Amino acid sequence: MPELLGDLKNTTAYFLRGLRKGTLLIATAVLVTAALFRNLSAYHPLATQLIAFATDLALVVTEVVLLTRNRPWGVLRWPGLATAYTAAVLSEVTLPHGASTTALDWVYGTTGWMGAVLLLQMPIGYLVGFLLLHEATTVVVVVLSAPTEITTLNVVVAAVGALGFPFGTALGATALRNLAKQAHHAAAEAAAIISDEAVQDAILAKRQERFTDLRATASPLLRALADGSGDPDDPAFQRACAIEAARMRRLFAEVDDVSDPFWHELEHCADIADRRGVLVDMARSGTYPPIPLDVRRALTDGLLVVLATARTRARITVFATPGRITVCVIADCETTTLPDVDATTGILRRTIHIEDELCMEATWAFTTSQL
Amino acid sequence: MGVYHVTVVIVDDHPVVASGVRKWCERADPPIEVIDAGKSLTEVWAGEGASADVVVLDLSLAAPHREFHELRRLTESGRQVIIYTHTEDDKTAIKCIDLGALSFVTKSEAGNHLVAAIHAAAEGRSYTPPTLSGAMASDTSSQRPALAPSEIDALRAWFQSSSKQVAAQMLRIEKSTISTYIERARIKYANVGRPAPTKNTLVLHAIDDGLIDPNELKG
Repeated sequence: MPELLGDLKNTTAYFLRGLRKGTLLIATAVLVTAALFRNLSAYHPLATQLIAFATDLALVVTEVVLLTRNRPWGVLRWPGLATAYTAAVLSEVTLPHGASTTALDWVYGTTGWMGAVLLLQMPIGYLVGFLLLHEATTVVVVVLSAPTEITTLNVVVAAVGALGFPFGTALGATALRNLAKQAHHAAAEAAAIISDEAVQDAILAKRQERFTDLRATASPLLRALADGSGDPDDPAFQRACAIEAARMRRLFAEVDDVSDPFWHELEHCADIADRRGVLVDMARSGTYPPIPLDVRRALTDGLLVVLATARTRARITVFATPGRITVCVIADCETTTLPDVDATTGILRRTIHIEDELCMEATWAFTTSQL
Repeated sequence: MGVYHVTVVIVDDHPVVASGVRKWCERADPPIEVIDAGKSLTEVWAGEGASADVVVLDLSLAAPHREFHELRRLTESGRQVIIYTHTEDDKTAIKCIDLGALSFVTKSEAGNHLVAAIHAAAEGRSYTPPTLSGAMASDTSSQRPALAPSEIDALRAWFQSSSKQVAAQMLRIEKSTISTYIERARIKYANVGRPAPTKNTLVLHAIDDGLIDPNELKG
């Protein structure tokens, strides 16, 4: 039921739709079976009765149109009520003498149903008020025409039906409105739970995505260690493990909430060498905007390898000018090769051997649209 | 103990700094005599420090703006000042040399940079350590001087390597060329911004030495 997730008003309208149809049906039936047409000759003047009937018929037709379009009365409600009341008064005061609330008084029972049709979507107090107003008016008309005992009894008996049944319908509407509210809240809670689960799923998926990269490179090493094929004393194997450990450190640093993630990740990379007793020196110059994750990884990939294998010293610098960032690491480490251009991010790398040191530089040239 | 040719008065609120600097200066060639003025500038204006060749001033003694004010007072009266601070902010570095400091050295930089700066300042010359070099190379403010691309490359390579040898090989030029480019850039900075006696001296020395042509400094 998609309507339930929208406005509470829409949910209520949905729940009341059936009752609205029923009320309209009853109102129409009451109107078309009015005693008016069986006793046309009894009314003097007949014109006022016909006008009142036409008015009520117009209201019923309006409701048919609104119901088909699933629209509420809205701004037409109060003019409609005023019209129904005026029609009732017009009919009542021009009835034959003493005919009020008798069989000839077709408008007495009909008006209650007009009220029900117009006020079904409002709180029950409104219909009660309308019915009481209509009843009071009728009583005044009866009193003014010098009632007899029988007349008074007639008024009371007629009131039971004329007021009771529309009121009963309104009670049904109230019950349905409460049901609608409960259903609406239950649906909202269900939606919140579904959304929470979706968020949790997204977080889990992101986590797995991050570890996928690691799995490709770290698991072979771990497996080699586990089954004994990897020799911890072998310098080449040690180097491979050091590089993987560095990648993991970088991955853990990526989830930290800091103002400069790039510098933070570089500090973690530097720490890798620092723990091995390497003298690491870091400096930055210029300002740079937030750097996307894939670019940060590409910039630090070569750096990681150099830092993991530096022997005694390393200097890491970040140099930024508008539209360019260059990360440079100079360390006394073994030769290493990385591609000169990173295809996905467009980062350019340069490696220079200077005596016993390696200088690796990675540059990202960007426009503001790439950020 | 030899005769000290250079005296420096150091103003820093951490006693350990003066103590460490003294150790470096004793081992320098030629050795440098260090006067510890503590955290107040009284000793710099009056007392022993008044006749010191060089003033080494910590930027963050109290509120920052006071130290800029003090720096200005010192340079306007012709004192040769080196700023020695833990602040590595680019803008601060540029501001200090604009106010007439002969050098800006950060405490994370190796001791040989401070010693080299003191030796240079004693002769009224500048020294540009890697951090200051990086600040000059990445400077995008409207008041910056027009630097040649080769000068910017030299500043950047020196910042990245903190070794003139390595910087020279990165750019495939001579080590002496690197030094020349860096000094020229420094002179251009001395030629712009607020006037100060120390800056004028730098520029005049540079023209005298043939490091830079007066025409290059116009405009």
